Amino acid sequence: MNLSQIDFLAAAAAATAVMMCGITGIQTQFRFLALQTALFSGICLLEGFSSHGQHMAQFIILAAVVLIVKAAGIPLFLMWAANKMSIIRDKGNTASPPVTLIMAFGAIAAGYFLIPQFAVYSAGNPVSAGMAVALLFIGMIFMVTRRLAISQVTGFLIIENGIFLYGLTQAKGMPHLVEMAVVFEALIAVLIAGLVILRINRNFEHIDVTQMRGLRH
Amino acid sequence: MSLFNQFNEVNEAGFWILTAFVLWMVVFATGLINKKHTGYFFPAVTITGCLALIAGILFSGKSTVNILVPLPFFLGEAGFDFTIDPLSKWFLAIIAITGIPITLFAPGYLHHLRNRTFPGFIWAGFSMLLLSMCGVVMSSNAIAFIVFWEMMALSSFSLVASDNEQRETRRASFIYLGATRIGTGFLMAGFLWAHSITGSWSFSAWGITGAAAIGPSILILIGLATKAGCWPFHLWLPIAHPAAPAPVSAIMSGVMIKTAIYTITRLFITGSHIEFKWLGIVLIVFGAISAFWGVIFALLQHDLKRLLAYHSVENIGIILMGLGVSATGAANNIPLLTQMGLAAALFHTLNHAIFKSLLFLGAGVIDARTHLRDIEKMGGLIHKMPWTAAAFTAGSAAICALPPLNGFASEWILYQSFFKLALNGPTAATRLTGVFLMAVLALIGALAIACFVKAVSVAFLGLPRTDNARRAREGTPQMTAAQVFLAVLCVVSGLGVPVLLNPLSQITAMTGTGSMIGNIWTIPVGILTIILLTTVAAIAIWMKKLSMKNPVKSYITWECGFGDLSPKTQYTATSFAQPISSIFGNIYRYALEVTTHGRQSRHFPETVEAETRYEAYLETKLYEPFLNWIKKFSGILLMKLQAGSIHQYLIYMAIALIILIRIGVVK
Repeated sequence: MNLSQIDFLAAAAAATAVMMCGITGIQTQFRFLALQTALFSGICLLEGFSSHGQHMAQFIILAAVVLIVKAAGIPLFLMWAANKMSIIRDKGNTASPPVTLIMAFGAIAAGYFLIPQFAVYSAGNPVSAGMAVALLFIGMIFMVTRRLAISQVTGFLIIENGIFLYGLTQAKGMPHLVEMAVVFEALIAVLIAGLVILRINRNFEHIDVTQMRGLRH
Repeated sequence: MSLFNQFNEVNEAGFWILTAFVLWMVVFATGLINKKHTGYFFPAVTITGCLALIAGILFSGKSTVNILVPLPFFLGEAGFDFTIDPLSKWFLAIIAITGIPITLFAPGYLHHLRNRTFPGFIWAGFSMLLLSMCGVVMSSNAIAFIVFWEMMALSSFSLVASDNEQRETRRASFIYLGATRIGTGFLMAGFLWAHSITGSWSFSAWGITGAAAIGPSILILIGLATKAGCWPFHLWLPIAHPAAPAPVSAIMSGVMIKTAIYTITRLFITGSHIEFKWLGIVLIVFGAISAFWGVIFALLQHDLKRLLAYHSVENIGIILMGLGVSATGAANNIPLLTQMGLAAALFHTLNHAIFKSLLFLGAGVIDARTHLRDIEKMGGLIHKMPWTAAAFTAGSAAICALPPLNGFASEWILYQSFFKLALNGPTAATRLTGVFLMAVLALIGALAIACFVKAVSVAFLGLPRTDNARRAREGTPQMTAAQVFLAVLCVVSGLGVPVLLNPLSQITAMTGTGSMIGNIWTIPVGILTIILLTTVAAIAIWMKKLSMKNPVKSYITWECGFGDLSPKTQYTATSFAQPISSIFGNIYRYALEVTTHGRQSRHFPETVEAETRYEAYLETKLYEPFLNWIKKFSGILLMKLQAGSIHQYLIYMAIALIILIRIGVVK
């Protein structure tokens, strides 16, 4: 199979997501998240070049916004929050990180097999569609298997990236305004979630979601 | 711009009806914003809406009006299509002419609830209820119908729950909400089934016949029976009506439950959109049971509003019997029978709306002025509230079908249709059914008279039994005016049958064979009324003469040596109903227990306690165990599903995502 440049970057992003599943260190996870999002910024640029100058400027602006807000801003904020709460590791809940790693590979495989169902062939880059679906699954797996509330945010961002990737590579007609709005929405969501987690940490002295069952009573 | 152009195509009638809608929307919006307003804005605008509705009905004449509300008002698969044909107009007229007096009555009553409810919210719910009922009877497709049906259910729920500081009211409103959910569930299932057969949401495009009609028919009929309060789905009715404020009970019992009658008529009888083979026998059987069940339980009640609510069950049963006869006529191709049954049922629908709202308003005045609903605590109210007493007595006479009032008029037509069935029925079984129905209706009529003699005599005659009853006074002039208006309507609609047969014959002509009911009214009511009045006058003069010959002498009543008699020694409602109730005792395990206390209890009892008990088998043996089982089962399920674990919730989301991908993407 001939991978286009965009497909290659998408696959690389999916690979970073798989790696995140195998990592317990919170700060490293955020670095990988930043890397993953930076790859999307690259995809944005490539899309701009492939549109033959038609929407070039808009794509470049989008790429810059993604790079600044999502690839730098959000991970830095999360790193700051994790530092403030002095969290170092998330060892996982039901499945240990190595098991999660294998599940994430499964998700990549599932995404690959779902390419015919999801890809918009006229848009080119069919592999990106599969990788987007794989990111969706990996984000879910990440959220379900991690123990700390801040990892739920990370998982959410992986899912968000998957949807962003799908929109970017498959639906050519997506207005840039919408893409920008989504980026800022994600920022706001993460800010709110981060602040809530900080507050939870202050009140309960932990952010372990498995312990939050007690809140029901 | 195009919006106005499209509205211009609607003729004058449509304009007035839409005006009514807009006015009620205004009341709804301002009621929500200005919840403490008690002035005349809300009633004035609501009544103007009712008048606009009447104007619309009058302007439309004999023609059928179609209104297609333009975009952006759209419901996905179908728009808000309204068809206003004679049947719709009949029910719109019922809504308007009961809506006016009830609106007039409401401010006085709401004053009595002033510290417990927000009048603005009640007006908002009330106007929305009026609007949604109009929507229900005008909708020509299933989706718009369901939307208005739900608006009707929810607005009436909010009205029932308006006085929610009392525990009993909260319980009643939840039972009512549950009943509406179940009803709508069945109705929606039936509509979806019908849609899957015909592929259309429009009622007029439905033409389901044969075996395919059985499934949707049963589902739709169960849904409608729940709304109508037909046996065995009537349980919510005697619980919700006493809890609701009186104007709300009046509109719900008088008009809202009739929307189910409208829907049965629309779907099964006039349009034959669904032809259900056994419709006639089903309606007759359930109608007869409802009517009988309602009246024998009404006899046992001491709560005036609950008693009236059970009478609604009874009257719905009578109406369903009429519709059943109509359906039997249609199935056996006897057009005259079809039309007579239908005319009787629809006429009784109008009459029941008038006298039942009158009676509920009467109960409302008593409640507002004495804070009493238990008739055992009333007594002697006729001296303090003569207008209410007169109007309530007129309403009672009407519901007991005494001539020349309207209850008699519609039951007379109904009897005629039963005679017709008994004489011209195609098989021996149907002829026998006609005879049986006559017997049932006669029995019900007798029991209803017993019940209302009890209610009127115990509440209004004799001496006041409690201090509350002693301090009673007449309601506000508006409340009295509303009652008198309805009482006059009872007389007018009883005497004006030939006029009312015109719109009815337009409806019966919709069954397809031209109207035949032009001359079914064979009683010269006017002459009979004059004869009746002169007879009464003659008897009165004669009695006056007798009393002049034998002047009244006053004695002290012998009190058996027990000392002074208190008003409590008067005949009570329980003792009045006891002989009749004990005849039907087996149906509800009626028991009377009398215990006497005191040393020489045989000859000199210090206290005597008498208590009657009854058990409604339907509640205790069927619904209660079933509901308990549901509660237990759903409790266990809820514990498992809502365990409070975030991971578990995330897994639900993942499963949902996978299912969606499986359904939507992977072919």
